[in-house]
Amino acid sequence: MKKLFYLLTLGTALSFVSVNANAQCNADTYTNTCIPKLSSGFNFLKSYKIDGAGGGKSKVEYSYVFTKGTQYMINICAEGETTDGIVVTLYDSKRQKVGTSVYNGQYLSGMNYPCNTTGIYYITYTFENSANYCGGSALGFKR
Amino acid sequence: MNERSISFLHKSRYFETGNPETAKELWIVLHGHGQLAQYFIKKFQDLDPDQYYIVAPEGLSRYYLSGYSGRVGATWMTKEDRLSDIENYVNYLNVVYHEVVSKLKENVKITFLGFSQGTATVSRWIAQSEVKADRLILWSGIFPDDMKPEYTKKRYDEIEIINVYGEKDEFLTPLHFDDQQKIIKEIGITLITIVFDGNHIIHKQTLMKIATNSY
Repeated sequence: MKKLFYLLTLGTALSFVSVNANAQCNADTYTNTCIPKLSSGFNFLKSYKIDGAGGGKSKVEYSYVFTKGTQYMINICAEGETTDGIVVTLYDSKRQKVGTSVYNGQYLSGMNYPCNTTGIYYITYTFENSANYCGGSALGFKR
Repeated sequence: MNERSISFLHKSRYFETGNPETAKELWIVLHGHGQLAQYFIKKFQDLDPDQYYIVAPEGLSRYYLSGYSGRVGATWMTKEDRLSDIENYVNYLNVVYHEVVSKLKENVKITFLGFSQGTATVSRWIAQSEVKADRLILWSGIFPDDMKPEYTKKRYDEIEIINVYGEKDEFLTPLHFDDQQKIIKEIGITLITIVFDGNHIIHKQTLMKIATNSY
């Protein structure tokens, strides 16, 4: 009986390790994929890791100072060719939404934003029916 | 235990000397670990205030240099949650940049100078932003090894880069120079190197030579 208990405990522990191993997010892979995918004419500024901790985080947020008169592109990369339900939404300094990668119900692989006001902007990644909660993103600019 | 991040408004200071309305050059100077901007900016007081507008931002974390009281210094980052520290100082420096550049006339030459820890800070900032830089001076420090070489080259291509250090610098070892060589080779840029007789300091005579382009 004792043996069975130990085996069950060990089995449970191993399956837990296995689940956690699957939940590891190697976001660097996706950021490296995303940088060269910035559209022609955009200069790379910064890459962002999107690690939703296997669903433990509902959003991942970064901030960046955008400049008036500059156009920005933010793209998203995840497993395969899709965005795996990762959505990028841009908010201005007053937390007003100014752009998103969801257009007519479609999840696009990124968004463009022509900036009219210099200031801090919040780049927020959320997950809609995501399978892996893991991805990468790149921010580029052109004038 | 879960770790969460949150954004909030943060007020920070910077110091300035010189007259932005008459200045022909803007110098943005970043101090080293454990220094304060208000003292660091004094290293540049010999530059003509009508010609040079000097701006010294300050590391966002201040601490007592020894124990729990006494002298205070600032740092740009530590190894703890470093990516958030980098994100914060890049945003802060961008805001300072926009504010000070808005005071200038057209065609003002812009120099960025980083001293010691400030060299890594200023290098990352330029790589991750749209700031217009004519010249970068890495003083008593080297490029950090975490910049993406293939994209950094594009950003640094049109910037004059000067590496300055004292031949008796107690912090720079041959290993640092090996790292520097490796990084600049990867990025594919060239540096002008100036060595002065001294240690880990802003050497006044060398500074004046660089400012007056007589090196």
